[in-house]
Amino acid sequence: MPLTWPVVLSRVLAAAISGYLAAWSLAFTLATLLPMTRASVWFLCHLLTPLALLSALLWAFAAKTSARAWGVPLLLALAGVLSSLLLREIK
Amino acid sequence: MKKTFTQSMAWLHTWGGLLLGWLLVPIFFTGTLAVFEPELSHWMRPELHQANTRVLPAVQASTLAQARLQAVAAGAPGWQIDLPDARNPALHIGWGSPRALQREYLDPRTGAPLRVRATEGGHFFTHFHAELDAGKVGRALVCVAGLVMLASLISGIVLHKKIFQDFFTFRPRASSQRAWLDAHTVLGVLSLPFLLMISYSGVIMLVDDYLPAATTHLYHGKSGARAEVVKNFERKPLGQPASLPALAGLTAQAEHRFGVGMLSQISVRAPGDTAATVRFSRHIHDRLGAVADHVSYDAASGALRGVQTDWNPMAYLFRTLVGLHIVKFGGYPALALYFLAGLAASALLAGGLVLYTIKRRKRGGQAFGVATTQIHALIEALNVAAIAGIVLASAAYLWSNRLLPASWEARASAEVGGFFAVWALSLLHALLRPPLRAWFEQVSLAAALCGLLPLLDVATGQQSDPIAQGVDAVAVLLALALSWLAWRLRPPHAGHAPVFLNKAAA
Repeated sequence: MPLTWPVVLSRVLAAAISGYLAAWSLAFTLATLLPMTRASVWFLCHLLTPLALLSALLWAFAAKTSARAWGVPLLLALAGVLSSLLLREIK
Repeated sequence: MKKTFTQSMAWLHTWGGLLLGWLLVPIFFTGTLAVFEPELSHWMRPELHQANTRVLPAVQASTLAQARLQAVAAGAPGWQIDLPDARNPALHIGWGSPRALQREYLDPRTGAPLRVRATEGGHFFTHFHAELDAGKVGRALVCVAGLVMLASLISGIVLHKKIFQDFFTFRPRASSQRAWLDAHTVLGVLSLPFLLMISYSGVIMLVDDYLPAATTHLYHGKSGARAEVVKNFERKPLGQPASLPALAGLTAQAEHRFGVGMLSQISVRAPGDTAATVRFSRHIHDRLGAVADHVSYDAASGALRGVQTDWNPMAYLFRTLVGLHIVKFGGYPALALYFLAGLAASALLAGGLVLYTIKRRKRGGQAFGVATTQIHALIEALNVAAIAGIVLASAAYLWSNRLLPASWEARASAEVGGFFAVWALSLLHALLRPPLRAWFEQVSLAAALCGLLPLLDVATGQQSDPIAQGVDAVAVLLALALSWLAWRLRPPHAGHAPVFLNKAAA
């Protein structure tokens, strides 16, 4: 399949948007679940969220299909938010 | 995206590297200069050189500063005294509210205020490095550039799975493309730990602006984490005027606690009030973590209000990465290492950009349809401006510092204007000249501007100064490197093929 501008644009947007949501979800999960003082969690979030952005960026271009480029980070983001909400309810 | 993982990574490495490379070279080069921010600031304020005799001890500095502050700002909401050290020999005071301090330099021998030219000094390089002089938009661009840098490092590792073998592969005579590729790879492998560290630690400092998830969920969108980590022993002024006792006694106490010569700053809250408090901050130049231990006293009674030497471990970890990035530790050996690593990183990025154009020129073809020739010419011009242009602009910034009238009010912004004007001219020149000519002419001019900097210093400086001489010496070393590059790039004449064109089919 030749590379066309729509394909590239889709991957760039996947990296930016799904990566952003995945990073936000990671911070939300850490903030909800970690039993540390909130300042500790705050600093930890700043160490880890860039790694989520980076992983999503690499994934967006490594994934075989555009659907997977978008889908995997979004599913992970959703899973993070839902499971942390669920675990918070249980606690 | 491509057929294989390696091909996808190659595509990302090429295009991410090219598009963000035009930002990353200026970011890395100005960041490299920012390693010597205090020295450059000192160089750019020749009026301070006469006062650079010895490092004034903290107790005497506090006495001189207090005398001046008492005279001009007895009722100010706060005072700040930046104590002299070997890298910043002047006594720098400020008064007003912490966010809008009015600043002044004092002669460390007499305590008299010095008339110092208005300039952003070396801080401009740090500022440009972190936000491209474009505020929030600039910080976002730098943050994205940092992430793409990290992605390029990882995709670069994927491309060079045989990393150990690549490290020993340098074929300078095989063909110019080979030579550039090998140089790019060797520089990348050699400085990989530095590149990963510096890019990651840079991104973590910027990410909160755009991804305030932790702030939103933990602090309801308000800032507060730093305030929870850094203890505050100040208190509200009572509104009862009082005269501040001498700071020298408390300074001696604080120095006894943290060590002689280990204080970096004194700040006084409500100096004209009975509830005045004095805080002493400790230097961070002997530790990786960029956290300043501090101790506070009640000014009137001299009673200890609190001391902080222990830190939240996670905040300490974060600030250790910040400390690794801003390199205040380790003295001149560490600074020199960072400077060289920064130059190597800039060269790595520059080599990557150049490699793109060599490959495309050789391949020819119609990658961009009918506009291919024009687009390749534009890419080449942007390369020249991003690489040679940023060196020229930085040198021009230093030149304009010494050539603009010292007493001119608007000179600080005019210096910055000089930086951007020369950068714009570099792009214009690169667009108008044939690529090889543009490279040669701009690199030669940059070599000349750096090489002549010591002469400018002597001609416009007020007296010889060891810190300024250090800056001059580094400028000469840069000029030598640039001259060598210019010689390699010299335009073709009898018997000399241009280095950027592939000599043989080999």
